[in-house]
Amino acid sequence: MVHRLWQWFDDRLHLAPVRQVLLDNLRKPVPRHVNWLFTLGAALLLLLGVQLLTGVLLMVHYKPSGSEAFASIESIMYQVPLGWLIRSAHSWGAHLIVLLALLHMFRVFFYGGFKKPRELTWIIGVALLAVILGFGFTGYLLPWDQVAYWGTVVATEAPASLPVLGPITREFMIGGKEVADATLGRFYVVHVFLLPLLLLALMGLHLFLIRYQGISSLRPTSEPEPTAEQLRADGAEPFFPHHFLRDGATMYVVLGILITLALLYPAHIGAPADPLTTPAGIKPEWYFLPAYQLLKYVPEVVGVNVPPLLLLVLILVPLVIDTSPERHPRRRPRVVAGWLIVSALIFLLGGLGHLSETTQSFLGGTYHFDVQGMPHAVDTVDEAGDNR
Amino acid sequence: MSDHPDPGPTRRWINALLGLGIVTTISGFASSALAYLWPAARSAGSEFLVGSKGPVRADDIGPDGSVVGRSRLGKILVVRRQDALIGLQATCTHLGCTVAWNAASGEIECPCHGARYNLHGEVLGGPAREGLAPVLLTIEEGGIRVRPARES
Repeated sequence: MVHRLWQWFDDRLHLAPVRQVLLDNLRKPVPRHVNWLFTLGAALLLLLGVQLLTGVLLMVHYKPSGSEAFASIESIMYQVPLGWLIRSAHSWGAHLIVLLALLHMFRVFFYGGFKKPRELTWIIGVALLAVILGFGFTGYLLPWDQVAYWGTVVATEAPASLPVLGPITREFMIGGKEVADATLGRFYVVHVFLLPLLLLALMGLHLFLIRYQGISSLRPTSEPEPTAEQLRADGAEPFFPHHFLRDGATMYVVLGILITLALLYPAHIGAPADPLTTPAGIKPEWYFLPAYQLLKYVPEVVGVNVPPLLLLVLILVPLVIDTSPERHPRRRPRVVAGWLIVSALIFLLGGLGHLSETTQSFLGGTYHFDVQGMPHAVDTVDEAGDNR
Repeated sequence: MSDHPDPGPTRRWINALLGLGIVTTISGFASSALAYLWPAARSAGSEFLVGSKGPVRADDIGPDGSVVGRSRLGKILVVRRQDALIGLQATCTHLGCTVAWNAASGEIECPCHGARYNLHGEVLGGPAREGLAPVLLTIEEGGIRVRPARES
């Protein structure tokens, strides 16, 4: 049956050469250094598929208006059969995508995979990271609860501090002077239509370039890339089925983690959005915590511009910052050290953002972390009653 | 490109016209979309303070108590302090959260990034650079009327 179907199409479209190209591509050898760390991209592909599926399912019951959004999420959580699971998988999927995208980026950085001739793949990857963060930013508002509302107020107020075009940019982005019904409509369209379109286009290009150019070797860029024959002689295995199976295994593990998290820690919904009352201790998603904490230390015009500039710096990594022919991390110590220091600083800021305005016990003492994230032993703080 | 022979003045004119036509078409669509998306002007709002449960009356605010409501001047914080009502803009000048009166510390605080103000609206600490603008309140039969302080 399958053969006859193939025959029918082949008679009309002469697909044999196309089939040969695809088969050759599947059997392309992957270099010997390729290990499990190289399956993170496949796991991301799976998670993006899960987001697409759960997102479409959520759209069936979600109502994007200020008066109905919160109630529709409540209905999804408590009335629609398995609605809580679909929403929890969507919410956890978003967290895991950001985490895996960062790990994937670290892997490519350390293996020098972004170097010539693969700069474009890296740059598209950075654009994909921006799209993923855009998804997080716009999706955060949709439940229309207090955390969603005020998180979005703060995040959209940030660009307003830019000179000249700042205020008008913000007004256009949120559709008025303050976050309201109009904002929800805009964010919804961006979240469920524009960003998915952009994501699919960029992802297609990213994957095409990876398949077309093949996995990077560990040799310096000054040496010619090994041919498929050289790789095979060196003991390289074909992409299909060897690496494909590894990809599949990682995908299943990640899927297992996602479902486990969704089952054990379902997404919750807080109080409905109230534009007249900002609740205490409002904090953004973990991946925006470093930016949130930075805003407490520096003037907002600096704090607002540094995070987007980081994306620009990432684009410049293969073009300006690390153009040496060396791929091995030990042979480019300065760039690797710089990368690690910046990452540690971002991690530290995120940690301080997480701890700020909380009381934590460790090493036998109890400490209250103030707005700046500085610890104060609770016994010596007279406003201990102020701890929230 | 330089290998191509010069197309001649007529062909150049036609190319320019074609280009202009395409640019005009795209601009037409883009400007219509922009006009469609441009934020609509909101209605001016009431001169009287309206809270989440309807119009706010002076009696609703107890000693050392406070309320946040809307008026045509935006979100307004009203604090009762020694029989007087003090009105200030309630939107934090840092990143737009709604500030709250803390009777225990006698300060106005922003729950988002910890900006602190006194009852004159002046910055006491935290990341805010500008103060909260005071507004003029008058107690009338219809409730609390809010006017810009400079009108006084």
